[in-house]
Amino acid sequence: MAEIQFRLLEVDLTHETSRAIDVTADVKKYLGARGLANKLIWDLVPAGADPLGPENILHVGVGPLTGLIGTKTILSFKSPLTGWAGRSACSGYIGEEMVKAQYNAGILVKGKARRPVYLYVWDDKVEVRPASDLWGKWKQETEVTLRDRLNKETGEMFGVLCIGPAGENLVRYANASVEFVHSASKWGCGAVMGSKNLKAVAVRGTKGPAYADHRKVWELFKTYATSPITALRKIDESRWGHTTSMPSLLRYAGEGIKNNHLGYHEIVEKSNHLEHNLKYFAWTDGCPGCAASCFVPFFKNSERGAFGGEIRHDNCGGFNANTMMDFEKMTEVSSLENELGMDGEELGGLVAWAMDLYEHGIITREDLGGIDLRWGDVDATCALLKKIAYKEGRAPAALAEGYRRAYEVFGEQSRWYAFEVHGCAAPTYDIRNKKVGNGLPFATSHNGARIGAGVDIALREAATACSFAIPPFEQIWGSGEEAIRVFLNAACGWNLTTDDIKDISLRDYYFNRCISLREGYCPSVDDQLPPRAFDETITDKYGKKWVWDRAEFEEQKKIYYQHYLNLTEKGLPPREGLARLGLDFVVPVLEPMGALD
Amino acid sequence: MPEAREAGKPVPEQRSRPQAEGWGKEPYPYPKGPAAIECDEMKCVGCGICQMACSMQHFGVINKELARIQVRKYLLPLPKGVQMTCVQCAEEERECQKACPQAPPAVYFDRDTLHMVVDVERCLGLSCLLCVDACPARAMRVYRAGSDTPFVCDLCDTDNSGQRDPQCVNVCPCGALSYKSISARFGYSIQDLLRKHPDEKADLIARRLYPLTKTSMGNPGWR
Repeated sequence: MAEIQFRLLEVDLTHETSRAIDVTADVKKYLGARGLANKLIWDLVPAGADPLGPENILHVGVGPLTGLIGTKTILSFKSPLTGWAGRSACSGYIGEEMVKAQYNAGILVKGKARRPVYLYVWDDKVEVRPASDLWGKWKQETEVTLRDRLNKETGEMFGVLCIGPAGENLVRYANASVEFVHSASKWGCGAVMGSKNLKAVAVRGTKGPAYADHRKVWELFKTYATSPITALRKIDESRWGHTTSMPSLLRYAGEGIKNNHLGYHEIVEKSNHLEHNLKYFAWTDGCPGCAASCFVPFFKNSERGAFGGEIRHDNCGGFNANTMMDFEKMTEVSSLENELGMDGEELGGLVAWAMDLYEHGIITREDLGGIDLRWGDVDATCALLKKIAYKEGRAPAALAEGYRRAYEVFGEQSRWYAFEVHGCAAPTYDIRNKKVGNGLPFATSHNGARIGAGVDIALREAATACSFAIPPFEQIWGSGEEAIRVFLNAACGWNLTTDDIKDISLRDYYFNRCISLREGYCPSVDDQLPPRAFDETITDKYGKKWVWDRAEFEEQKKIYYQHYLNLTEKGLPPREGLARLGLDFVVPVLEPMGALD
Repeated sequence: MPEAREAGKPVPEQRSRPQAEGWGKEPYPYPKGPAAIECDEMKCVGCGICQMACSMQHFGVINKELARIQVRKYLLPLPKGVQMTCVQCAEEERECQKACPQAPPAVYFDRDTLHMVVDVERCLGLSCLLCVDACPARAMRVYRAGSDTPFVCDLCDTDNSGQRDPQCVNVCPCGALSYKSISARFGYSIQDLLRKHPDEKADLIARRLYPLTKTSMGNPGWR
């Protein structure tokens, strides 16, 4: 079967021009999405560039398997929060529309528009269109208004990715979303879009996906879609979505409670997924091509008003008990987070930190613009979220910049209260709990405090393969890597071996890490846990205690680098690995910086 | 021209989801008489795997635009997948057949094979499309890049030999699609009452979320 071509849509917002580029050779080396984006960022973004300036790029990425193993779109950019390699992931219709428009390597956005714009893509018709009447709108209104307008104009239903006011105002952890509930949240992709005056990306693809062997792809895909293994997974995913991880983590000191001070508090008993499901579950919703849909939007009508949205671990996990709230309160807070357009995980840490600082008099009511920011207060929290999104008031504006910049405003005494890694909030999966085991992954992540920053996720975010969709594939084909391999060969007309897949994974992982190294990330200095991870013990409901010992952490970090991340003892990519994988071009850049062993 | 079905030969029994055994997706025997595809809209998640199966069955490629069944995503404000396909209307309500300028109509319900058929030899093609405009649900599908004539759900009896076996129903992971005997309460068909465009079905489902409006996740919310 003939190999397929990979097309990248390159859009220059400064000049409002666009062109489709053949990137097949690069996709064969790196796959797409975050893999390809490594090369784009390395080549196109000068080291030290301002992430909120026109030199930054935004890659809205898909890969050869987007729509076959779930539908994940990966946004890649230099992060305004960390200054390092940034990436966000979202699901939903935008990825599929790009694949159907046959921009199967995604959309690359460069430069900065003169005024608010949105990107309009309908197959080969690409326009940079004015968005002045959309600018300022909250997320839901933006997405609905734009979809309705384009439907009236064309009769087609576009997929839309958009930002809210937080992105427009360059909050450093502002997000973008698709179908409201699919949020590309981490590390400030929304701020990058806002800095480019890019309010939304609207895509409609009617050509259909380009596959080398449609019948073979269908044979593989149908096996997955009709498998009892998939049906079994669906039973759990389609009822509960991702509401079940929080109750289990909260009870066992696995998730932040009261700004990560506690391992248990009776409030966690009120984060009950059955209660939430029975009261408010609307229906199951899913992504293109996924046979085990995992979105469970809620609808609540109450004396306090009507609310809709979705509670998931990512948008609520680090927020609810961490700010002394529960699922009931989060139904009101979680959607506001996303209407304004900010990362719920980052906010979960920052808002809890602000409550802690307020309780201890380090920030005042005046600093907060008059808000009496008590633990668990929904109205105060919602008022604070709005002020952060609009950077109103001394404390909210500081919080909008993230922990490290906020220290300069709140003073040194605020540091001890901050539960952050690499300047990023770490409220979820309390890093002291070694059974949950995210202390080392967070601490060694070159993206900044992130679960799954390793080699296997590098492959998935290049393929793309959704981590929630992939488990049945793992069982049917023996491993995620093997499933990805057979699907790639059928879809692309390639002959990848198991070793080829291993190489691609490691190549993409190293390359992403090299971007961060080039931007000043230094594992021996930066890969640390917050002081409280060593000095403050947490105890779960049943008396089990967790805390890190400093010497133990340093020792285990070395082991983690070498055995899980294929790095040197100092957390750096090994020279022989870089050479073998065709990445030696990074050496002349990283070596003078002292960023290689 | 499709082969004439041998008179008197029974249609082999078709079962749903032949590969999926157990886990609440047991196959059920397919109806032998007039039947149509129905969707339990509240179970549909919008994955569109039905569309993939349809385009593969009829055109040998995966392309949702080439599918006779369609699933669209709406924001009500909550995201919702809404499906539509031809419901195999009774003759009195069959707007597509009535609108066809050909005599006899080029789009018709075949009484032997029991499904809609587009006779591509006699259909006037893309310059006509009166049938497409006539169906209130827009169940007659057009895709210029792939077909010179409109196409409509034929219950996967692609060569019109009497082998109905809807692939979309077979593959739906949610059990949202079913293949059922045409509603004939008291001998009267009411299929056309199910004949709604996804836009219309979406607006009806949106009523469940009153007082939320489509443009906000809160009412009065946080303003």
